Amino acid sequence: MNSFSRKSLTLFLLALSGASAAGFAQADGLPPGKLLAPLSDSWPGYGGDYTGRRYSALKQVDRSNVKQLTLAWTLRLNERVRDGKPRGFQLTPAAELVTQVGGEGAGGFPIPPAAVKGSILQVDGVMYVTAPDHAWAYDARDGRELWHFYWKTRGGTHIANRGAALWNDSVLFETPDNYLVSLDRSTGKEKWHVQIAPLEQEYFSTTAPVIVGNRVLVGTGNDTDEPGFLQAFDAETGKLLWKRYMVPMEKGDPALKTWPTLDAARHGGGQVWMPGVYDPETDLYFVGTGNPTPGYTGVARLGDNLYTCSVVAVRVATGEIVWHYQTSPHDTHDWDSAQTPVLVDGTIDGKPRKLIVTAARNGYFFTLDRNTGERIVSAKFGRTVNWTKGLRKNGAPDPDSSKEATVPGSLVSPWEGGVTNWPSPAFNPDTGYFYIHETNGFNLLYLTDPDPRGSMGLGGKRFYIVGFDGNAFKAIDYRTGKAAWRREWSGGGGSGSGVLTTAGGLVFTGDGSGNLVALDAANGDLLWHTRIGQISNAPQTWRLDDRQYVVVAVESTIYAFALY
Amino acid sequence: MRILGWLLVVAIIPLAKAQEAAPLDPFMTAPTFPAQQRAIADAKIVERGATLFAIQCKGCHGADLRGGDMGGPNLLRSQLVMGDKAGEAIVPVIQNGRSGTTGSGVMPALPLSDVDAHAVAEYIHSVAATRQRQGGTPPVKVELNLLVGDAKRGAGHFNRWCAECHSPTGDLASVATRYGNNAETLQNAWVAGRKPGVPEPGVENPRRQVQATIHFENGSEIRGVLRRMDDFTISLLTDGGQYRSFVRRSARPAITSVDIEDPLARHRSLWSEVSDAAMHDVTAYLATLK
Repeated sequence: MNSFSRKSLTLFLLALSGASAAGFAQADGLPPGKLLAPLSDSWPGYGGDYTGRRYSALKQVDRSNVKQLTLAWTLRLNERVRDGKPRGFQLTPAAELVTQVGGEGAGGFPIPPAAVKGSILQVDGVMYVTAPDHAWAYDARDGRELWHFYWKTRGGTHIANRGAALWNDSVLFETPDNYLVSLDRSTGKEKWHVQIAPLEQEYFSTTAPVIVGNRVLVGTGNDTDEPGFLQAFDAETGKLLWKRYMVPMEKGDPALKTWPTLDAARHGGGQVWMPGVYDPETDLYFVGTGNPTPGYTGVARLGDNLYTCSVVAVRVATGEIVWHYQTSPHDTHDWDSAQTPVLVDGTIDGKPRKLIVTAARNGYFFTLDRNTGERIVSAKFGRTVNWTKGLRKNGAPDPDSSKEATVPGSLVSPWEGGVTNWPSPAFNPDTGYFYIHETNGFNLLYLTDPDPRGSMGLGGKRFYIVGFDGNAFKAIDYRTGKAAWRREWSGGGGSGSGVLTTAGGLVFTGDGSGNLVALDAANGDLLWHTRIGQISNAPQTWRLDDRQYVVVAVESTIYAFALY
Repeated sequence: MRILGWLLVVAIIPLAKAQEAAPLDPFMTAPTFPAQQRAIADAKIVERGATLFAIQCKGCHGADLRGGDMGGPNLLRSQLVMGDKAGEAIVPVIQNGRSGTTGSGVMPALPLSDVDAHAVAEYIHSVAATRQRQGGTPPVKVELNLLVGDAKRGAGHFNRWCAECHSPTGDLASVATRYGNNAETLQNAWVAGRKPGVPEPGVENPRRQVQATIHFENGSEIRGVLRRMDDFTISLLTDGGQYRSFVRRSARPAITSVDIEDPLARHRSLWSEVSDAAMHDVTAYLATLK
């Protein structure tokens, strides 16, 4: 046992002896450098480490023994502030529950039931979990609640929260009404909060912050034709360090030539609503950006609309955009390219290369050079994708305008949700495969507002979900973009769950039929499953007390599995 | 920007409304943003503001506030308008003018009193409050003709693609009338192979039932209507109405194969074959079946 585990054991004993929430955590917290280490004992950030690979070096659970994986504990999120008392099944005695309350709203705003649609962080044997307006700390050994923080909201779209970020003894997360909140890791008491975007302009925030050094990188969302941006805040004080718009905001911006007018650009979207990944060698942070707006009526924003639907490399020290690659020029289907990309140290034509790979909602997969943005591979990964005229010279898909919303209806694939969406893919360096769900849906898309000024936001259209034709899960070879293996789900698939891969030769994900499944990373064979409901985040793994846990959420319930 | 998750819920709402007025959870209809949370001014003030807007502002900003022929910006997405609480941002611009980013780039000062300029601001807010969710405009009513296809060509496509299972004098007799002569729902239904609002699979509709036959290693088989199948379990209703379920890999006797007969399979394969023009032709043809 290393010192880290001893510390964890102390915590465990403290928890057993009924120590109060305020007294439980005497550990060091998360020094910023920890995110640079390979994943094993902890899950310290959104993608685990900075690479976004969601690859764990753990191999206690492997291809030979995964069949013996069994339930270690389960917990149900406790939303007691919402209605004043614990709801439903609770494992933590009510008398031990501690809730801290913050926020600038009046209280009583109707919000959806809490659900986990993001990452569960775990450091020093404590898990940190979020949902819109909520944060919790739990003992990672038995799921016992340690504290709860509830944010009284002013409003905003309460669709999801992708998780917290840890920095020394702070837990930071974003709220739907656009605050970055810093909590004390031990008690859940608020240290400070700062506004990160105006609610009046209808921004809302769902993403998980990513912390590099002492800089908190923060994205937001918006559906009302307002410009997207990435910001950096000081992790200690919450002071704004820089703000980088993802659309041109001033005359003279070189990206302005991809917009008809400055007004169109300044209302052009490109939101940063998912966490990015970070390369310490170049100090570059890579994020995917969202769709241009108005979303479905591109008539008043003709042009490629940079830097929407792109992978953007941003210098963390300054906020400068170093390079970009647009994966969906002039999107007109609300197919964001906001998905978290993945850093791969790979080999192309026999030469070692620093790469970044991403699979976009529009159905195309890309391998790029992460130092220059040079495109190496682009390939269609959705079987039924029908909205392009092929690839441009630079490898980007060329949109077929006849597949935009039309008055008599356009039968378009993928469906509105895309071939993929926010749920994270994974990359396993042992196999060299990138694992992702492939959703082959069709929409009938009708233009309901043919006004030459274009509509606003996601308006001006109506769509009908026609159906799905052969949803699958696959392993893509980053060197070619081709599937090394592909497994069509016999239950229909269409999973909203992300992916985990491990050195044990395994891939964990949801099958869209309510099963958590383990597949052989090499060939896609199904090795284990348990029917616990639709997986609502990406499975994660870590080691505590020499035992490997696999942890996953089904909406408001979290399950931990282990070998005994 | 739209995130998977509520999508299905959101997509089903209009259908649910058509079927039965199902009450929505409060969070689905909550006034999400300040524009919807804001109190609307007294009707007389809004009315006066509307009149003044039509005289002074409409030319540049449009009758619907979404921007006009003379180049004024869309006020419904204006950061200045959205940030305004009680005229404090809008009124000075009305009275003093400003340099802008669209059209001529200049808004002239307008000769409106404080009271009148505030009335215009309140009118603008009253329109903004009617904006639809996800950043949409206020509801737009335009008559649109979806029937652009050629019914005669559509009859030909129908004979080629559909006639094996469907008949214009049989199951599809007067189908257009049954769909209220609504070309959109008619097209949605025939392309998808299901009546909008009816979830898959259609156990209740014999025409859409998926038949499954499970073959066992001892040579026996069980046949019935498929209820549920994934990679691990399969369940069906036998012809005798009995519910049976099997673990696919460890059933005893062992399952050797499963045959699925899905009447919708042809619909699904058609999605990748049919052009939009041919689809519109078929819709135009079906619209003649009154």
